[in-house]
Amino acid sequence: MNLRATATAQQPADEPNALAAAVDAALAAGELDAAIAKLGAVPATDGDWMLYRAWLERQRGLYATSIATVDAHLVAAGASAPALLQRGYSGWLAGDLALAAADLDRAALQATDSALRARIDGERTALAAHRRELAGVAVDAQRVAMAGWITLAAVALALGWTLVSTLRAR
Amino acid sequence: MLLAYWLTAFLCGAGVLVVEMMAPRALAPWFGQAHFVWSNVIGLVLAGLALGNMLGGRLADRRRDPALLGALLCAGALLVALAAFLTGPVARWLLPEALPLEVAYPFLRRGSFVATAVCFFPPVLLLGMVAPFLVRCAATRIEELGRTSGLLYGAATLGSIAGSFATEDLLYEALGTRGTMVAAAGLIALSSLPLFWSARRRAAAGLVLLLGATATLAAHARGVRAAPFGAAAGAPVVAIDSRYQHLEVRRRDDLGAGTLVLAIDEGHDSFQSLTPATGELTGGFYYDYVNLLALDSIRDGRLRVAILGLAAGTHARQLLALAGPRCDLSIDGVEIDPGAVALGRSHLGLPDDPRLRVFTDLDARTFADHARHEYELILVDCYARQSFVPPHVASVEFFAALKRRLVPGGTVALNAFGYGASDPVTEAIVATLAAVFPEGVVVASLPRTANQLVWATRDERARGPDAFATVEWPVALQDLAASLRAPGQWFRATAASGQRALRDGDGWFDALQQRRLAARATAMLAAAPEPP
Repeated sequence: MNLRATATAQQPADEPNALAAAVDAALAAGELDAAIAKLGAVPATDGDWMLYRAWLERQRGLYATSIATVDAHLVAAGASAPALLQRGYSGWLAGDLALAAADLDRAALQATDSALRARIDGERTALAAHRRELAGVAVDAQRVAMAGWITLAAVALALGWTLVSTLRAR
Repeated sequence: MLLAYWLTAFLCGAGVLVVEMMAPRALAPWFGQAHFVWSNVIGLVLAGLALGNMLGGRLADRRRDPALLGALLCAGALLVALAAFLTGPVARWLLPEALPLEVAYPFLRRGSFVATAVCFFPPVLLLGMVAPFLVRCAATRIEELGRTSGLLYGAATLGSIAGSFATEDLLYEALGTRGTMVAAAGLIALSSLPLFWSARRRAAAGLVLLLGATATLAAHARGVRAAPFGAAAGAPVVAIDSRYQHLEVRRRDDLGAGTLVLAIDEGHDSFQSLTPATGELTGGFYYDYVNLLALDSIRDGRLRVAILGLAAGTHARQLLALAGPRCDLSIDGVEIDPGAVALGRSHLGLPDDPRLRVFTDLDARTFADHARHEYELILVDCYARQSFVPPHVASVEFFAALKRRLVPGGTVALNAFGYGASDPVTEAIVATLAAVFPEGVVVASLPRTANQLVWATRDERARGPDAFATVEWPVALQDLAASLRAPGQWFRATAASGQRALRDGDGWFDALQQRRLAARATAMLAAAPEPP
């Protein structure tokens, strides 16, 4: 998963205003939380800034916040491939692979730019492989869980039955 | 006669305790030795003993026959010997191959429960029948029942004490996990000897003597003593049971052709040390990034480093190669397990270099509290029981001790494993470090890994990656430094109100680490698609 290259490309290229300068200064000083806070007031319809904010939140490890930021943008501005891709990445890192897969699928449908489409397809392939690997593990997890419950029940039953029958025999 | 029963109770008590102590170690190559593994083992062993106590009492009331008790003991001994070799097949049935770390938790927790129940519950149940049975056999008058039972229970407890010390100081190091269990089986079988003898079953007594002696001798056989290979990822190279844990060197071609890793109590795809086939850097694992801090910490041509959690010496090897030529370097490596260092020397390229002093059998906390030297850089990479940071090496008191070992302007750095910079365990470590270093902490998320590098500096604000003077560094390290300087890749944290710092004796940190693993695994497995 090549998050960094993708996400860096989403930083607004043109930074003509004071907000951009303030955010850059905060990031340069290592004040990531402050940089995110400075972006808190941007309009939800502003795709570049909202996605940049979501990306910074993801860098901070705030995956649920990042997803909520993209959600707000999607509600305000409608679906777009970059926004869905962004939310898919955050879902992926948060461990919500189902959300990530759904978002990447939708992003692929929305993408009109061929380069973006190719990148999304690459990520979908990687995610699908990851999910396929986990599918087998999930079946094993159910088997182990079942074995655990059966074992617990058997031990508890043996102890309970022996205790009751011993007490009754007295 | 009472002496014979006393002897049986003593030997059986010793055997039960050896089994109890060996069970977690027997499970370790597959399930690790996390707290929940120990809880499962202790809980199920006690359940087996309780059930055995009740059943043994009832059976003894029906048949007061020492020879029957002897037969039960022999059956228990047989099951103990069997358990030594059964854990592997049972674990392999329970665990998928190359289990990813992020979904490993439920497998390790539930799997260790099932494996303990299958392998260790049956023999312990049989051994639990012995105590009440012995009391019934030994008691001739009701007026002496209290004294007789006290004598026998006391004998079993004394046997347990002997078993405990014998295992720790004698058996385990010489015989390994399986050898110790086979020896315990022999001991348990021999404990039935007085019973058969007193029941005038001379043939049975002779057979038991033969079997017990055979088991004791077999415990020394190389094939029995050898540590088994567990479920860690990669091709097995060598496995040992050290005094502290199960260690394996594995070949991981998926990390680069010919790459060797050290797996410690690991039943999944993580590892603790790494040596590539060529070169010093590991291809972007967190070890590589530590070199940035090391080069940045050189002062007046000198660099004194303490590595707490040396393992097989990846950091030391890299520092000697990369920082060594640039300064007057000295490294103090602290590793509690000499087995890890030995494997580092024999298989993972840890050099025997006069600039590297290695302290083994020494806990990082003890070193921090009692070391006399000062350092420009102290690296903390202490993990135990697979992916758990021991609380006593992440507390305010520990970091305060480290701070006293730093020169003014010296840096302490930690490898924090976590799913993102807001991982609750990472945040707890950062909050604790920030409580000791009020000038603030730098947190860098390392690209393409689940590791954060966290550092703080004594008496001054820690330098961020933006301040690294990288011009004269090797190009590969310059590239790594550049990747850390990317926007949002690193940030500063300071102590904030409401943040909870970990203190010695706090119990919440272990629970937090466990909850983190459980939550991650639950989320990942819930999102897995149905298999085709």
